[in-house]
Amino acid sequence: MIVARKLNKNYGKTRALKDLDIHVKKGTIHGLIGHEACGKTTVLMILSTLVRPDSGEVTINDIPLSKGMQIRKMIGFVPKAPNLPNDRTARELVSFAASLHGIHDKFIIDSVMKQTGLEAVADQRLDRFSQVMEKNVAFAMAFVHNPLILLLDEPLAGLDPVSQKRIREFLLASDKTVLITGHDLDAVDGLCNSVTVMRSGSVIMDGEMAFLRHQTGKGAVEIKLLDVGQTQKLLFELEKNGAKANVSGESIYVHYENNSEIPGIIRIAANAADITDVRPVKLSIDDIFAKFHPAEK
Amino acid sequence: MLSHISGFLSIVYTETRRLIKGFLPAYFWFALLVSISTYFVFAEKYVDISIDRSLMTLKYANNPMTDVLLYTVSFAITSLSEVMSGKIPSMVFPVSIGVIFFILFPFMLSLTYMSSQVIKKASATITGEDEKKTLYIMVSSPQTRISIYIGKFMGLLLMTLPMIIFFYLITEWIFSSLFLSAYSTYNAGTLVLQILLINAVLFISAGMLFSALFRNEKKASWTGNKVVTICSLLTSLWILIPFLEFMLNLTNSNTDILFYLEKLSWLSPFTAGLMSVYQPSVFIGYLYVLVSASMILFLLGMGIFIRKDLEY
Repeated sequence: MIVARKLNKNYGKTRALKDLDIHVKKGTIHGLIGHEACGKTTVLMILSTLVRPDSGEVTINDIPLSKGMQIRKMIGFVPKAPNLPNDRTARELVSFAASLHGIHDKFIIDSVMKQTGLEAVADQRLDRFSQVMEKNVAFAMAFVHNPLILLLDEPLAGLDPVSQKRIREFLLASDKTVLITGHDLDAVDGLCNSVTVMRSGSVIMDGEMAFLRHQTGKGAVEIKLLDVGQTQKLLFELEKNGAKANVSGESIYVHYENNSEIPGIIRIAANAADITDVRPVKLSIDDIFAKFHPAEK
Repeated sequence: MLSHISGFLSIVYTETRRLIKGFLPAYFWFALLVSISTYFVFAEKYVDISIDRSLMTLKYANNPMTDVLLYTVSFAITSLSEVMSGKIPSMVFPVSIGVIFFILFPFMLSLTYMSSQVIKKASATITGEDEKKTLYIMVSSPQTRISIYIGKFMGLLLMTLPMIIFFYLITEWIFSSLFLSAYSTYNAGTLVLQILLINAVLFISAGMLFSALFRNEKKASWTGNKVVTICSLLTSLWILIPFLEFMLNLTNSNTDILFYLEKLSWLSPFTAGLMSVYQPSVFIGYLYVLVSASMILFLLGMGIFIRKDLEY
């Protein structure tokens, strides 16, 4: 569990964080969303004890940030663009990261290399690595001590689809508390249980994804049909079952109040027509800004 | 606790390995410099004769260079008759002059070269990683910043050891084969070992302080380089003082300024090192000063590093 209260941080005259509150429940994946330079990375740097907050309280699993050593034992940190020493091999770097935690077991190191897809290139120097592979090394280094808390700064940015899928699957299957940053909600959609939306160092809004969708009026699923001729039939069936729907282009948008309505909507659609695609309506950070800070949009 | 110690040892090992790898050209040039300057020391003949100190009195130049001046003047006077009769005077140096040659060439060169290389590496140790943004690997691990700082310090010291040991062996060789009479009065090798070691500690501490203080590697290295240059200039001044006094005496000028210049030249740790080899009794006093200075610089640097924000 990560709790931050009234967190403030200034870089000279620039206020990076203003009375920021964050609450991440144990075992959940929480997204920290905001545009560039809104303070997301500063939050992660404070939590990983790289930077000291000017004021405010932070606890991770009820341990205050002042007990840096205990905190760092629990966390695994992956920066946005990991710059790793490129004169060393992936195995050397992961072994070094492990040794800093007092781990020297080759089996653990090998299994992390395998988990992050680095097995085949483990003994190659990093100067021969692509950015994606380098990021995978950073993941391996952060995961090697099996941390309870993961602090990931835009972890999926720049990754290839295979690596993205691997990381997503790993995070969804793990019982770790994860704080993950991103520029927009689509980067963390389907991954996060809850999100905090930030703007200029302050929290604009936080809550579960479904709650945000509902609040912004984006609680809808987009349905695409194989044959657009079946549109009227589907609309009729949906209305008959009390669902609100409208058509835009080749897509049909069905609105819902609660996440639990989604399986029912899909069932009705599948019975009434041949559907090719069903997906939640993309919720963007601008929708949230428009809803909660219309003047600043 | 055990995992913390093993983590710390891992930092020391990784740092030492990385530093030694990047220090190989410095080892080569150091060995070359020492070998060439040692060759020059061996090129001359030395005998156990004393220097006639009654020839002149110098007020401020209470240092080995006075002996060089005295010997030069004495040699000029004694060989004058040979030169006048058309003979080439034979050049045989007293052992004490030989020791000064050792101090001025192999020792001075190694001390300044080692210090300049060490401070260069030390100034880059934190700023370099900070600029490359690789420091987070260690700083976000359970290792404390104190252990990281000490680990980096140890790495730098271990990197310097081959130079120090090499020069210790050279000193032992020179003194046991050329300056036996001096060697029997004090162990020059051990003394040189101690001087080089404390200078290495001092310059590593200073370099690491600059490294923690500045955000830019270039600026930190520039500052470190300037410190070594200033120390070398002060020691050069110390070497020149007897000659300056001699010249001022010849022209009947006021020599009071030399008093201040001599005191100023003592600020350089190189001066302390050079004086100590010639007059081992002064070493203990300087050792305390250098150890205290090193500790202050080390603690200052560590304090800054602990409080430093590392941005990514």
